[in-house]
Amino acid sequence: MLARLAALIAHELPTARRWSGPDTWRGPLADQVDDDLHVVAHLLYDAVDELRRLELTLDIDPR
Amino acid sequence: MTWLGADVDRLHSFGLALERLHDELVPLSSVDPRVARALHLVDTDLDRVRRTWHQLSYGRMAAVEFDAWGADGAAWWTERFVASSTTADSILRRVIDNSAEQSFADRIRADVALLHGVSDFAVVADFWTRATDPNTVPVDIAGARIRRLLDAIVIHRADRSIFTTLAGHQAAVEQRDRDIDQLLALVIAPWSLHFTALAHEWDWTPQEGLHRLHEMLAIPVVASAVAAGLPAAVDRALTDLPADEFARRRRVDEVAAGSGATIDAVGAAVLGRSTTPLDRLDDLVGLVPWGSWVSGVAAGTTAATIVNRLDHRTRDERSVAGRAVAQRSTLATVAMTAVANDAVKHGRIGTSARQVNNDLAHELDRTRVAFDSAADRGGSFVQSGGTSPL
Repeated sequence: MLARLAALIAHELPTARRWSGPDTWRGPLADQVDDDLHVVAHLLYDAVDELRRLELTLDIDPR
Repeated sequence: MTWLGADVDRLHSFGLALERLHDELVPLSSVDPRVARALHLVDTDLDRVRRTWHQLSYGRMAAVEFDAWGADGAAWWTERFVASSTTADSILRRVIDNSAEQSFADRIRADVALLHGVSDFAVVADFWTRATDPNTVPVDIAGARIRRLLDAIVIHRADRSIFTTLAGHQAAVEQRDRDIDQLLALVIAPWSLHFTALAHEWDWTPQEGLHRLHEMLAIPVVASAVAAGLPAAVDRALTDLPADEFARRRRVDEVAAGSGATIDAVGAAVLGRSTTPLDRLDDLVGLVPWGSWVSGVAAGTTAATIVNRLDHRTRDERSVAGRAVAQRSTLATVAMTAVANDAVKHGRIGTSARQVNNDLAHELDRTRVAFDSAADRGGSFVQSGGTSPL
């Protein structure tokens, strides 16, 4: 799961953000999606950090 | 949003990228509540992008279909009078049902067919007023649409040789022309300043804008609507002023000059139609929300002194002139309120309470002076054919 999420952050997310960026598209729709994808990126990074911490904890204490 | 044809393709690629992100997120959404929230956001955006893509592409295709129907003038002109509902009615209804009006408005070229070929003109009027609504449509896009609309109407009215109307349908054609006059009034009134001092925002030279304004003000219902809509146009033009002080001043000066020029043009149009001096004064005062045009247009003196000069005239005439003077400050008040609102909204409040008051008071006073002298500036603008510096 963690690997799939990390891969998604590395590939699909930047591709989508490139399309909503000011160099490709402009207007209220692109602005809205760009803002949302910014939030999505934060949420996913936080989720990955959390999962990594959990994984580390499990490595240290398998119980 | 830009409504260029190429944008439909870019929007499609945008949608595909979001779709891939969405599909990858779905199986991961149970891993963590943050991922679930991210999926919800992407899902909502994907829906927005799909809907917009549908509207854009639907409007584009409907415009192609409409233009094909509107290409044969003789055929659709006949269809309009033999059928209770035309192909144009059907296409326009589908465009509205699919919320595709914006891209349709930019893509169609058979504007005359749209104006005359649709049986239910209320639908056309609603379509055009929404396609040029200053509250929702960007300035440049509204400008391009209105320029095209005016071209279509003027060209069609100048030459109708290919359109043969049977005697029994003449009344319907005349009614449609009156309906189009009403539509012009609705469409032009909110944008009257863009025919004078703000013409550059529509890529018009001031001369072109002024020429078009005079052309349109020859239609009485347009002159009335332009005069009545001027305070709202001034208020809108002074909303969201530039942060830079000099740019802000220039904007206020432009809008003041534009309002003066518009009032002068309305005054000149009405004077040309009125028969007696009292009619002229009454017509003008009734139409124009601000009486200072009287100085240049009617009496050759300032609005404040026209009452005295009318001492030898009847009570009615003095009453009319008095109302003109009383209404003089309407636009200046609108402008000052707009500037004050903008100052508060954008926090131009200085560093101390005293500075707040002084700076704002100075800016408001300058706005009042700009609008007080707007009749002179507008008069110069009109007399020079739009070539004098504002």
